[in-house]
Amino acid sequence: MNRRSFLAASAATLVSVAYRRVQSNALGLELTAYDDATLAAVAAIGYRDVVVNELYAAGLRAALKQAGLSASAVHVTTPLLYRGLERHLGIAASLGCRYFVCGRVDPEERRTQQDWHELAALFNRSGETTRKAGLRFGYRVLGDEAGVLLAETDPALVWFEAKIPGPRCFAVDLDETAGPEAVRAAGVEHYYVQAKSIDDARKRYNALRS
Amino acid sequence: MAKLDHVGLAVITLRGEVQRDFEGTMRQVAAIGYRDLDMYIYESSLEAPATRAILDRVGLACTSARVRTTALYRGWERFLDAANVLGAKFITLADVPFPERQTLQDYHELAALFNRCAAIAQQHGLTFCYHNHDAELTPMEGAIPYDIVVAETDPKLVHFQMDVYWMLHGGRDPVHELRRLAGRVSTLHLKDMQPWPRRGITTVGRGRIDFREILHTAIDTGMRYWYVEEDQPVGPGIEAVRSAYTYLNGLDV
Repeated sequence: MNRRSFLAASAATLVSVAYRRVQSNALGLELTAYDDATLAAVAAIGYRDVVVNELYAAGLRAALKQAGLSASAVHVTTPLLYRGLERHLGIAASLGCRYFVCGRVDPEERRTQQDWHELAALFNRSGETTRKAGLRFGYRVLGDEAGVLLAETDPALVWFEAKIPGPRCFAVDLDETAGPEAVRAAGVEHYYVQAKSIDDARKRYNALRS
Repeated sequence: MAKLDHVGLAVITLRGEVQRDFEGTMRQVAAIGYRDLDMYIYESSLEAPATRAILDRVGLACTSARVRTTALYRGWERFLDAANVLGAKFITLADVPFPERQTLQDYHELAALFNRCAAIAQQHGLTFCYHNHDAELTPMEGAIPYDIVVAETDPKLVHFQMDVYWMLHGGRDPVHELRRLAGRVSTLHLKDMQPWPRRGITTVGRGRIDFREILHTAIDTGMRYWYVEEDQPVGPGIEAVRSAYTYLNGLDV
């Protein structure tokens, strides 16, 4: 599937889902800092869900609990899929994550189309292991690769986090251009706000919940 | 006592400059007097043949090609082929990121991975080197991870790029380690440690590290390759690179 057909499939999904108001537990914030003050500020805005970019930040589990936040997903790098995946999944489960998401693929890992074929195979293997651990495996879409991955990954094992809602999409990343209509229309489990600061996170939360 | 016959540079020292203008920066580096490089295979953002052509044009050689752990897990032979296009002798693992070294079990697994990858590298005519920081010198579960890696890897296959600053920062004497691991330390990263009681990074020649003794020992153990490396130089990187070259070039080792 190329990008155009992926977008067409996305549009088909868009019209097929019911229009709904976003639930507060569906609107999450992508965290880039994990100190108590940041977590408390995030919770005070009203966020209950977060996506974390660190599996091994010291004291993360206790800090999230203390702030009253739950991490629905964690973004990891590809090396964690190749070695020690069961151990990493155990940590993710202990944080309460439901999705274990490959959130970064280094540019030098994706230089050719062959790389994407191999990554699709890696994601299928990772999806199998992740399912056995009681979580779901996700891949955060970077650009034009979604077509290859949709075609070559197992729909029962691999889910997607993307800027545009599409097939097998469990979460939509909301950049600064996303308005409340994006949140109402997508019909996915999670919406992750990417904010530049706490002030930005607050502004976006209020706008998206309006 | 003699002068060094060449000085190498770790290109990461000039990462900002390289992103803006790879060829122009390499031309400056060659003009300072550097002869060889330690660099990520795709540091120039170009394909390996294009990078090689630029290095040939400006008169620099890539002797150590750096990779990240990702290269060890998938496409290793493609990375080795690219390193050979660059003309490298060493394929150097630059770092093991934090999530990949949480337990001693990780280091046991890494040692096994290094053995496998180093054997394939050898078949491609390249020597695998592991670059230390100070994390692997910090006790974990009653052991020193660095010693696990040294003990569990094949001395004929797995060699080391010793970062003398991080070795010292981790509490070990680089000269002692060079003697202990004689023949297995193939290359050096040279950056200085600020004068006591501070211990931050500074440019070679401006701190407390005795580079004469380190290089004398290194040469004595048969080493031929050393690279100036300064993660985030204060001020213009090219000035730090020039200053380090002048210092090392004037040294009697």
